[in-house]
Amino acid sequence: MATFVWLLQGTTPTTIDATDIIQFAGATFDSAITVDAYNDSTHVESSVGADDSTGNTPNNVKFISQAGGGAGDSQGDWGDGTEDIDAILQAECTLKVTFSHASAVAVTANTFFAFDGTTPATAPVEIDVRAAELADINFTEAEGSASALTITDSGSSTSHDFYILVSASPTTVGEKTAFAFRMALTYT
Amino acid sequence: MKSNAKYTALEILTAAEIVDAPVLFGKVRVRIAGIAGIVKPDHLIKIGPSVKVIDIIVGTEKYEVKIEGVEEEFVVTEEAEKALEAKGIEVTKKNEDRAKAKKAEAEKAKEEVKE
Repeated sequence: MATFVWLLQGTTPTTIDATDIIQFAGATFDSAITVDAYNDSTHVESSVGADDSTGNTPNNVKFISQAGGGAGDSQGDWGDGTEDIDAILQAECTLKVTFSHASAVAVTANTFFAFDGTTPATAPVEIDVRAAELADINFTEAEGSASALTITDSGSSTSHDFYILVSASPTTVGEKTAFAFRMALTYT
Repeated sequence: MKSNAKYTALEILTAAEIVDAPVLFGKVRVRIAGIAGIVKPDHLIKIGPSVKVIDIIVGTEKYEVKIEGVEEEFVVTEEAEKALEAKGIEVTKKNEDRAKAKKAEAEKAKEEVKE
């Protein structure tokens, strides 16, 4: 049987359950992000609004530029100032997604994207989303399945870990809830 | 070759000492570590930390690459980095085109509201 485990990484990882919310916020939990600015903190919010990641010092990756770094690399800030995103370490990425299977399988056609929470092809509403896989040179504007981030194929194994950087920005005022993430892959 | 690293398909075939590796892609079947349908030498393949042997099929021949240890931190080889850079240029171009389209759409919507 195949299983997925999603974690928000940090000093201690926080499991993101199916009913949980990944909250992109200003400096603290539940604080707003200025329109057209990017997240200063990332949290796991329970279905009843509690901060599940409090005490875990969750990671945060903030989008800085698409091509402003060395040799046209994208830049981000994950707590050490602005850096090219290919300098990020495994433990510093926002999300760790583990795909497991009882027997060894290879993973191909793996994509990660944000959508409106209802239709995978529809981009999230009034949000700019940037995502990259660990070691990627540039962010992808992963909004809707047609613009998904492509994750590297992974060789035969019973467990596959995928490390993803993700950052989001509101393009208008107000809480954005027509917004979800999805990973879709083929295993053989 | 170590695990916990990202390699190109060509690097893996070369490690398996396959003769003429660079010219085989797209001509014969190439399957690496269970990943079928590889047609480009710069196809990126992640070798997870638990992998001990990489199984390879080229055409009808089978090969193996034994893994000699695990990289402590995830590693991207130089060749894989070059492939990533090429992909990055493509992605950025796509993003810039999308940003322009989005901006034009937003401006059009504003104009419509004014009217």
